[in-house]
Order: sequence, then C-alpha cells, then structure tokens
Amino acid sequence: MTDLSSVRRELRREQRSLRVHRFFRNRQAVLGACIVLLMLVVAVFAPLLAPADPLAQTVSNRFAKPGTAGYLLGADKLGRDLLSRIIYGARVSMTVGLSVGLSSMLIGMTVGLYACYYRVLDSILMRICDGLSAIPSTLLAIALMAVLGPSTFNVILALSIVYIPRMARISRSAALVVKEQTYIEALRSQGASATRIIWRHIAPNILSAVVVQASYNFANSIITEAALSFLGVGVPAPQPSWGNILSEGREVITKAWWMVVYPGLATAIAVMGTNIFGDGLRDILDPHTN
Amino acid sequence: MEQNMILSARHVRTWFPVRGIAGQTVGNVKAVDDVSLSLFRGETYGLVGETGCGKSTLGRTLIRLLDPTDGQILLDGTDITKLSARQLLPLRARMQMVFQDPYSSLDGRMHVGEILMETLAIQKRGSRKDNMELVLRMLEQVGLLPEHFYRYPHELSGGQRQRVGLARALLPEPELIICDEPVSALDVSVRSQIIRLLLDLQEQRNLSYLFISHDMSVVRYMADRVGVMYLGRLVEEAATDELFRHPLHPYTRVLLSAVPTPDPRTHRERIVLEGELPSPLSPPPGCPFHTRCPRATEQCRQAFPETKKAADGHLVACHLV
Repeated sequence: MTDLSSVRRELRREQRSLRVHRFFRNRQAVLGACIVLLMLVVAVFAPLLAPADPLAQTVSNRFAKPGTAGYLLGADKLGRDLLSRIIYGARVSMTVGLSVGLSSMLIGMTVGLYACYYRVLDSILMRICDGLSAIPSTLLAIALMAVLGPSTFNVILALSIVYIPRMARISRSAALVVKEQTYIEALRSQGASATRIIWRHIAPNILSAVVVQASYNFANSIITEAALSFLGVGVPAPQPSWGNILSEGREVITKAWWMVVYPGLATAIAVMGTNIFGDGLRDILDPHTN
Repeated sequence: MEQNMILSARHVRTWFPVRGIAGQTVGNVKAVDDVSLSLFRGETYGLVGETGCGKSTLGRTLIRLLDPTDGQILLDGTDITKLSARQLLPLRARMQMVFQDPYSSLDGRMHVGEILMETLAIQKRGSRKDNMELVLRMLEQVGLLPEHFYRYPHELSGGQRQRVGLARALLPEPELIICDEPVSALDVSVRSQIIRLLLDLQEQRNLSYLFISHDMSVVRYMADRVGVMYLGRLVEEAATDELFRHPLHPYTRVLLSAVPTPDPRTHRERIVLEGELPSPLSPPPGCPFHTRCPRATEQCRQAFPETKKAADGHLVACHLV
C-alpha cells in the first residue's frame, strides 16, 4: 500500500490553508470576528476587567461625570460605576446572543431537516412556523416575557421561540434543494436510512446557510434583549444589562447623557460586529458569491 | 431459463397522481405503463427511447427508488415490490445504480474515500480498516489511484467522477447494475474509456446491466438485447442485431434512421417525426404512437395494439406487423 497518510496530511493542510486564506482575505469577516471576539473576552473576563463592583452603590457620587476619579464613564443615579455595569452587561448580551443563536440553530435546523424529509410533518411544522412568524417578533417576545416573567433564562427561551420559525424555514428550503441532488438518490437506492441521509448528508450541506442565519439571530437577539430590558420585561434590576441601563438613563437623559450614550454605543458596536461577521461568513461559505 | 433470470418485471406501472387544489387526484402521469421485461445473468439490456418516454422512471422503479403503482418486480425470484426498507436492505446490495450526472451524483462535502466508505457503512459491513482496504482495491479496479481516496469530487474530471460513481455501485458486490445514461454527460474520448471499463467489469464479475440510453450507437455496441420505449410503454424488444437489422415497429425505424453513419456515401432515408411526444397525462387512445406514426390507420386510432411475438425473442406492439 502506498503511504496514504502522508498524502492525506498534505491534502488536508492544503485544503485547510485555502479556507483560512479565504477568511483572512475577507477584511469584513476579520473585522467582525475581532469585534465578536473582543465582546466575548470582555464578557468572560468581566470580573477582571471591571474597575469596580457593578452593584456597589456610592450615593455621594451619584451622577458623577465621565472622567471623575474612579468613574471613567460616569456613574448612575445610585453612584454605580457605569463602565463596570456596561462590562457586566456584555455578559448578559453575549449569553443571550450565543444561547439564542445556538438553540434557534439546533432546533430550527432539526425542524427544517425533518420537514424536508417527511411530507406530513412538513405541513404541520410549517403551519406552526407560519403562525408564529405572523406576529411581529418584538411583540411576540414581549408577550412571551409577560407570561414567563422577567429573567435572563426566560429572555433566552422567549427569543429562541421567536427566532426558530425563520431558521426552520431557511433550513427547510436549503434542505429541499440538497434533497433533490442525485447523490441523495444514490444513497436511497443503496438503502441508507432517513437518519443517515438527514444528518450525515443533508445537514452538512445546509450548514453554511444555517450558520449565517444563526449569526444574524445572534445580532438580533442582542438588540431584542436590550429592547425587552428597556421595557422592563427583560433582565430584571439590579443585574446590569445594556437594555436596563438605557432604560434607567432615559429618565435622566437631560442630566446624565452618558447613561444613554455609552450603553447605546456598546449595543450598536456588538450588533454591528456580529452582523459584519455574519455577512463575512456568508461571503466565505456561499460559493455563489465567489 | 427461469433460474438464469436476475430481474424480472411483470406489468409494472408507475403513475404519478396529479392533485387538484383540494388534494384530490385529477389525473395520472403514466410515466411507466404496463411494462414487462426480463434480464438474464451476465446480460446487457439496452433500454432506449427519447427524452420523457419513461425509461429513467422505469429504471428507478426497478431499483425501488420509486414505488410501482401496480405490477411485480422479481429480483432473483423474490418479489421486492412490497418489501419494507429493512427487508429490502440486504437485497439492495445486489442491485445498484450508476447515474447520469457525474457532478450532482457525488456529495461535494465528502472526499472520495468517505463517499465510498459510506456505501459499506450502509450495508453495515466490516471494520473501518477492512473497508478502507476494500475501497482502495476498488479504486484501482475502476482505474483510479490510491491518492484519489482523499480527493474531493470538485478536484476530479468528469470521467474520474463517473469512475467513482461506478466504484460506489460495485462496492456492495451487486449482480445487477442499472446504468442510467452513464456516459451521455461525458466527452466522447472519455465515453469510450468508461464503456470499455463497464464491459471489462461485466466480464470479470458476470454482471447484468440495464443500460438506459438515448444513444443508439452506444446501445448497439453494449447491449445483447434492446427494448424500445415510447410514452411509458415498451413497444419493441429484440436481440440487438435483430432489432438493428429488422426493426418492426415504425417508431424503432424512426429512431434507427436518426443514427449517424460514419460513411458519408451511404445514403439512408431519414424519417423525421412530426409533432411532439404526447403528454403522458393524457395519452392518445388506441396506439400511443398513432399521432406521429407515418403509417397510422383507422385501427391504430381506436384499438390498443397488444404485444405479439414476431419472431423468437422479438416482441412488438403494433397493428401493422
């Protein structure tokens, strides 16, 4: 036998370096990835990065201006350090974004895959999805939160329910295209089981469409979490989230502009970063744009 | 004779229901309508006909990719028409298919080795190591190199891909391979190599081929017997030489007159068909070919021609024979 493992190693390296090269050539994707990575680092190392305890109140320093000693970005009405609160707020946003992105991806993709394969299941699942997507997403999220009660976990749950139908539709339509390919027919003619065809052959082929959509869900759930917290049905006080900091800032917008500007900026950068990252991913993964 | 038969189809029909808005059946596309044919061991049966005549549908029905509406399919004497997926699995190894399009017939996300290993995994055979050994040996047999194991389909040429498709069909060690236009998507030079390979493999392994094609010259070269399909029906069947020398059905004559000859001096009368293939949703009454037949009579318009025996092994469905 020829030395196959060396051939294999060489080819693998070649193929991987091609993919890596394509990623780094795409400046947009790199920029987006950097922003997302930065946000994740901030979230994970919040206790190390935050200069103060985000919940520690120093009432004498209430509404301290940005730049005051110990208050780089100012303080809120209870004298809590805004920078620390924003850093800790990243934890909420990233947790929500990642969890919603992943759960809507896994569940939505599963729904879409099985819908594409079984006709009866298809009509049932897709009608449910149609029903859910008929309601405006923010409204649906608010309604769900009203029922579930405010907590970070419930935000994740509600947003997952909101984003699953769309994901299911996208994976279904991508899966339908793959399902018609001759290689699926070849597998069926050889007696491959539905589970094998769905998970080993259709799923990897729709993954790019699904991952791109998941990155958009990531971005959208950051915004919607902020909106929910702003409206008071999201992450409950005193836990800091960009949304509820904004909400507190709204009341004092004329006195303490920093209460709205900085958390707003954080949200905008995070959402923009994930969106750019998603666009970049799409460019890399979708062969049609190359 | 019977025990030499590998595959036998009896009155097979494959109809696709056409549904109205309320889901009710408003008609049937009769893609395959009452077709009977038999395949012997080691034989190549050429199935010819124009696009849309149902030859691919018939091939897919015989391998149970599609369920027949009616009729029986016997694989080596076992009726496979009603078998469940689980019962069918061991039998599926005995009949395999090679597809026309060498591009869409291979999963672009898997390398050649994975694609071929998958075939053995479906049949739950052997350890990974043994299977890999088998796959490598198979690559060699279809004229590929061991290093193609880790190549992705997009790195291969059309001919090489078709060799992979052939390897995939051969791995379960079938007795019968349904070849659905296996060479029509290939360049002429590559085509002859693949045909050569098919013939060599047939000799080594005593394979039976159902060779679906619209290329009469390829069929003449490959096939032992030929069946001609028109609008879902088998209109003529004979040994290859017999069919090409004495075509009886007017449709077969039309098909043969369209085959180009290498010698420019031979002058043959070219019969050109008028009109389009009628819709299989509402086939014409009487003989399905009468709308385009140059010799159609009143009888053809009204009565359906039964299949009759014109000579030993020569069947034809035409009133005028």
